[in-house]
Amino acid sequence: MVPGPGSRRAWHLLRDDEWRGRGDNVIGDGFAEVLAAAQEGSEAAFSRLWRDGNPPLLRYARVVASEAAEDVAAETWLQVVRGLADFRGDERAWRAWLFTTARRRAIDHARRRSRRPAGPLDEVPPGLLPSAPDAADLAIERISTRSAVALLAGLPAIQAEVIMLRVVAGLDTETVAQLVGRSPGAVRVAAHRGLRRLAGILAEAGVTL
Amino acid sequence: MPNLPWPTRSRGEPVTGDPSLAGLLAWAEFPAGSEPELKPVAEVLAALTAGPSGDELAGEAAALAAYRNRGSVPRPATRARRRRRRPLFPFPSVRVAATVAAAAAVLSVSAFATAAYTQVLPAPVQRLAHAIIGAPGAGGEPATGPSPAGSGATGRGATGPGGTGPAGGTPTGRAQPSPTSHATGQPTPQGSAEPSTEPTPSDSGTPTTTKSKGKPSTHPTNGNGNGGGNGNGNGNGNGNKNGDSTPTPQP
Repeated sequence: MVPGPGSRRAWHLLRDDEWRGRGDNVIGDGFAEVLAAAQEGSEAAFSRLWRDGNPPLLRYARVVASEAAEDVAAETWLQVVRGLADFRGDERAWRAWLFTTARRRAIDHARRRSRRPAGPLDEVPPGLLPSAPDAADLAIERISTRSAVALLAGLPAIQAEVIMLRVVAGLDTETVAQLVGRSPGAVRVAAHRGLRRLAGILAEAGVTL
Repeated sequence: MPNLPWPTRSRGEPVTGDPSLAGLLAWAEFPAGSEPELKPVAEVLAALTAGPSGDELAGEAAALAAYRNRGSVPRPATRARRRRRRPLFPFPSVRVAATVAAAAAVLSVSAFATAAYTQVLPAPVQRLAHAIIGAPGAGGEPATGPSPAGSGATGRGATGPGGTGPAGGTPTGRAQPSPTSHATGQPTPQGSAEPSTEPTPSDSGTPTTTKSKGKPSTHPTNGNGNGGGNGNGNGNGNGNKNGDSTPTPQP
């Protein structure tokens, strides 16, 4: 199956040497103006930042924090709002800050969860239960975003996170390495291993394109 | 579902050189000639970066509300910058007073010892000083110190708290009393001054600085830090070079 135009734009995100953005999911050249306006109180500008950042943020949170994804995302934006006036940087730095904040909130959630006794699964709303996509989901012409997120969530933690930060957040290897506290080489290895494992999962599911 | 604290330490893993995988992550287009099994992977990655869905934009109102109220939200960074570290002693005058008091105490002790050794104190006080710190007595009695029997060797000077320094205040021989004591009270830099039970003419008891490396002695005959010239000389570092060691009661 040939990737559609949306996918083509998505590949722009994957360049390691030059970050170009992802088409309609990226503010691009106008980022500086949007940021300045948001810092000065423009709700429209902030809304633009939020609409650009929240979908990838939520997808990342669903991989690293599963059922706490919405809480993590909300707390992240709360933190971002507080620090918005002091932020200085380009769009890449903005995304790095956004996902760094999200990662810390996810870690906080994980620590709180480890201190609290786990409740029975039947108390968790069904929509929040993690579920891996089945072969039918994977066989459709275009894999849904939710299925793709679920697939990533099934990978080992570091592999899933690195792929999400590289692909969804649009961060380069160096930035991801700083964020997760590993060397750039280790980040590349984790990403490649994750992709190989993903290929294996898809092959087992009989997904052919 | 991975939900664990993320490791933060690098394990030093080697860098892989798979061009197809590197291309998936880095190239703008699906790399030509890549392995066929990677095409589904490419599709998954494309789905991850697709446009927003409805539920992903549902929280905009809440985010805008937080944005509107951001002015009323305390800014931790600013508060942290304003926060001052509380000093242990908040009032400078307390610190100054404590320092002055300590200095005054040290000076007074030194002055007392000096006066005692120069026999300028009133007789009763001089006798008291003679009894306590071994200063010359009011009647011209010599300053007391380690006995000629060699106890001086182990005397206070030698083995007292200040006599065990590496400067040689060992009892084995350094502290032998000698009529020709070097009781200028000035220990050698190694603190090997030999003790003496007799004051020497040069032993004015004038405080001198010592460079003994021994532990400061609290015995007065150790020269109060100046090798005191009492000949008890161990001068072994009884004193610090300020000569302000405190007197010790005689055993």
